[in-house]
Amino acid sequence: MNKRTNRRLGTMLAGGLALILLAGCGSNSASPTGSAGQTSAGAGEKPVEISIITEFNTPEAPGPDNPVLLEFEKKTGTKLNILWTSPNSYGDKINLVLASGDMPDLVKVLDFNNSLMRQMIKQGAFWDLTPYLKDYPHLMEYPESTWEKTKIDGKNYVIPSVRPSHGGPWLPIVRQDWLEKLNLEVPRTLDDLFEVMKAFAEQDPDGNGAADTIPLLPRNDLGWAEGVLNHSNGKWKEADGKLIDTTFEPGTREGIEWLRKVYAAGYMPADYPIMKETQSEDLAKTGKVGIYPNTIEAIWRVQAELIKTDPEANFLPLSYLESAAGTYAPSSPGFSGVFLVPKSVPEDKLKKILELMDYGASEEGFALACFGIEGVHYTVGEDGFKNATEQAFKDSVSQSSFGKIFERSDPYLWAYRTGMPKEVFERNKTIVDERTQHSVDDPSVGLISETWLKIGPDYTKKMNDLKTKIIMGQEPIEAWDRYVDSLKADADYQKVIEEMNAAYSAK
Amino acid sequence: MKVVTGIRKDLFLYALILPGFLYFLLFKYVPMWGIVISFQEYSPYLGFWQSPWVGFEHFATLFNNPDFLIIFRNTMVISMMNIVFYFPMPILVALMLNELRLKRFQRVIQSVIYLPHFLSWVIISGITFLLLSQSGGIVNKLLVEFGREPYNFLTNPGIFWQLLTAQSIWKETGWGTIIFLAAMAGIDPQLHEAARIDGAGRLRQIWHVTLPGIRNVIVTLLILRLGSIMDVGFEQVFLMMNSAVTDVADVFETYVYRNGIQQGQFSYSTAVGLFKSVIGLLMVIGANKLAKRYGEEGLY
Amino acid sequence: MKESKLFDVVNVALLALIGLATLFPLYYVFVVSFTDPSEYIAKQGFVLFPEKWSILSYKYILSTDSYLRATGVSAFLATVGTVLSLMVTASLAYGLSRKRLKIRKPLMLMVLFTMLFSPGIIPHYILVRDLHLINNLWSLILPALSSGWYVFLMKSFFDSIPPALEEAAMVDGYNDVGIFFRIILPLSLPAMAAFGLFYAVGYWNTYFNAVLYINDPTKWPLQILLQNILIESSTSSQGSGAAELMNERQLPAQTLKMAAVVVATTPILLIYPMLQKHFAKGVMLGSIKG
Repeated sequence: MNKRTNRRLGTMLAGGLALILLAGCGSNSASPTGSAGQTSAGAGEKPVEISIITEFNTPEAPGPDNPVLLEFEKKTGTKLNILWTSPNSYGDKINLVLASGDMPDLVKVLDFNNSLMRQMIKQGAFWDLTPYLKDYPHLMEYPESTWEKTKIDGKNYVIPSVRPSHGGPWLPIVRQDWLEKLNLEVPRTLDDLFEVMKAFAEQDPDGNGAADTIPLLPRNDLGWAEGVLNHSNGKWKEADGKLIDTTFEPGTREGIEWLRKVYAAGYMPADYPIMKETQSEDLAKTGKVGIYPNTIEAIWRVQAELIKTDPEANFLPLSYLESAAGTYAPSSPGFSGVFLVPKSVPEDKLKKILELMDYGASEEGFALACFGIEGVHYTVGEDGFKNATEQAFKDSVSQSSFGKIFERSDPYLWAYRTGMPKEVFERNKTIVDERTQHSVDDPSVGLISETWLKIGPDYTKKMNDLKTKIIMGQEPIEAWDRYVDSLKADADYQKVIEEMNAAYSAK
Repeated sequence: MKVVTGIRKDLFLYALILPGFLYFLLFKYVPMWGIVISFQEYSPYLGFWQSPWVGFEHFATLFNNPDFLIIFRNTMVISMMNIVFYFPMPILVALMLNELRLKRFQRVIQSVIYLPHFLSWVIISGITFLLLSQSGGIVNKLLVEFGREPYNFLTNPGIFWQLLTAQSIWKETGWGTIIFLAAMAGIDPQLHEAARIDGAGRLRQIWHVTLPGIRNVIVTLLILRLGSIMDVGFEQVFLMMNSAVTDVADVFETYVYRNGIQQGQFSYSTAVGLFKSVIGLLMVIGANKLAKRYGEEGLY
Repeated sequence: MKESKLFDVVNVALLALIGLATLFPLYYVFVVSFTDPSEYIAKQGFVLFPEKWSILSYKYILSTDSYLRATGVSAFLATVGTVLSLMVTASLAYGLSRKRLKIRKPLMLMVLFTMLFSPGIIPHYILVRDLHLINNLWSLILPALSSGWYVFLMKSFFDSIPPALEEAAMVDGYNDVGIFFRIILPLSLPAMAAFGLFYAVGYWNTYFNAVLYINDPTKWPLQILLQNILIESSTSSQGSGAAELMNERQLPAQTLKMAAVVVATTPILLIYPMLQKHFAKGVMLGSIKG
């Protein structure tokens, strides 16, 4: 019982600092903790009250007398009033908060393209942080590209909630043990993948005598098929200094056709469009799935379950895919949500807030946020990994609570999960490194087209629906051609392309 | 004397309705100003007075949307099917329950059939999936056992509406019986006695005594239901919707969700809401007139 | 007589069938909540009778400190809210059912209008805020006291009470308020029981308003706590961060979700049997003659 709770609790604390741990057990680096602006701690000044709104993913929200919270307050000379909000309705709540004007001192918005937020930024509702940021070294440690991508009108109005650029779920993950069993090479092209799927379907790799393998289990996005053929990441692609809409690219059409072939051959579940995430994952855990796109660390969840019954099971995340257009490893935007400070907050409080965030971005601060206090919330194991205690669970210490506010940049964040053996983690790090080398970026991150905000969702839905119908054989591929032609003649849609390009050149 | 008692009567009556009246005034009418933003390009930062006026622009956007007719159709069909097929069910089951002699059995059944009402749509769609999924659902497994091909229940646009209606019937019938049972409890048993003495069989009794006894509740409920004809349960549709059935599944709620709510486009979503409300109002007026023509009380 | 017997048999058979059809999924939810998570996964959800019983999921939920507190909040809402709602709605509905009320027609239209036209979240929020009810539990009761639906439905119940009763009471010197409390309400126990149940369930299930109005986690009702566990909600946000968000979320076992459902609904389920006796036939009508 305890072990399971421990593990579950452990899985909530995805170790962001594994790197540091291996280097040397939570010891602080040479640079002073808290760094610049850390003058007020214990100087007898009144703690500055700061209110923050954020979402959280632990079963309970940390209370006002939470030890980690108190520690943060002590270290930064603040009094924090955190409005923990249920993630399920965070979008509605944030819109309400923004619209009503009852904003806390630090506001987290999950959707960077939130038009209300954008409007309000343009109308001057939030602080322009650009002139202040350089005083905060730990924040400056965030990757340059992430700061660039989160600029609006050339200025930094937001602090990004930083995430790795690689390790996300955008590439397939293959059962390596099955590949070895059937003497197959690691697939690199779509054709390779098809052959592997065929082998999985026909040659009974799990050895149970039944042809019940599911070669490919899609997970909410099959974009990699188009992506590798187009050598693009998402809807937009950069060519000759301009943005091209990949909808019109031949690679997209080929990708749809390939998926159609896969579906027709029966290599995907017949009703994959309605499968929910938990269902997919549960299915993967039964050991019948050959290829399953997922995050590198989340696949460990599946694998950990599988090796109980099948110790050989081993999922290999692909490092890249290849096609005539080149190698392909799509990157993630590099952030997940942003923080803003309303103009109504006075300037010295603004600086205090930045100081607080800076502390959270330091090794010490981030470790405190994710793991808590050593000895109370965690102990350090011999492999250098931190092991969480019961108390951590009780106090809701997790990356999913405090870690939603205080972020530190770690490229291997998605390579590690508690319980993962060291060799797997090392392998994952290598994969992340390889992916970085073949990285294909999305040039449109942070770019907005007003028209697209208004009419975009309908078009996106139509496109996805049409693609799915074609893949499932309900419509012929010619339907796609017809649709593409209609888009070419659609004035509104063309306007979107213009606007995106304008935004792109303005950067 | 009559005049004096007349005023006295009414005074206390007004006292009775006062709390309710105040409630509606404060909590329903005071916020009503919000509807006006459907004629604005509302920006919360600028506030109500500073936000620019755009007249009927949002409605034009709505009507010009090429999918508008499809969305309208879907909404109407799902609602009408719900009214035609679901609405009578709780009445029927309530009648059946009412006729049970064995009290204990009645109690047991009554306590069971209303339980699905408490399950969220998330659970129900999960169970639906478990039963009907093409790749592993129980029903399809059985079909295969009997040598048939598996059937795509969930990705077939042809039966989507029927599927939704069936789900609603299953989920809400039991709960819906409660109000009718309460109404039936108020029927004078002497009326039943009289009918029995006159030689009426069970079915006759139901037709001539029970049903008329709950008629006004049925009519009221029906008119109210028609008033909310544009309101289809968002969660249910959203969960069951997928790319294959999108043409028959998209309704106003999902449309607004996609296009407005999350993005903070308050004006647009309020405008769509206003449109739905107007349609609902027309339905209520029409239904009420119809009811009165048939000699019923009507809603008002 | 034969017809009567046949009728009974068919009736019972059909109802038994319906009973089973509605019972099975609940049985399923109940059973899964007690199943060991790994067994659930291995069987891909097709658990008819668990081989490995486990109360793990329940321990997880019930061990949180906030569980008791949240249950207390929900219970408070369900009791206080229901009583107030019944009072406010019934008094208004009764008044509307009396044809001699001069402002009857306009008042009915006024109520009807509120049912059809609604301005959305923001204006309501602003009102609650201006009333200084943010973070106050009354913000979950006062705005929800009544609704046009219930007013009209209750009114139709009161409509069917014979006017002779009222007249007799007036002769005896009662005024409207007295009549309402001493005669009408006791007569309307089935209706009150029904609407009381509806309101109680509504208050017990308070979720969305609490998300909007209550910022203090110690004041959260039970549903919020449980929704935080049922992370895979139907309306999770989209946007550029969605993929990352999805990765970071813990996908809880189905068993946990089922346990959450059982925990959330059991208390309110216990109320219904207590109210059942009020749906018995013709209980009250005898008093007319008296």
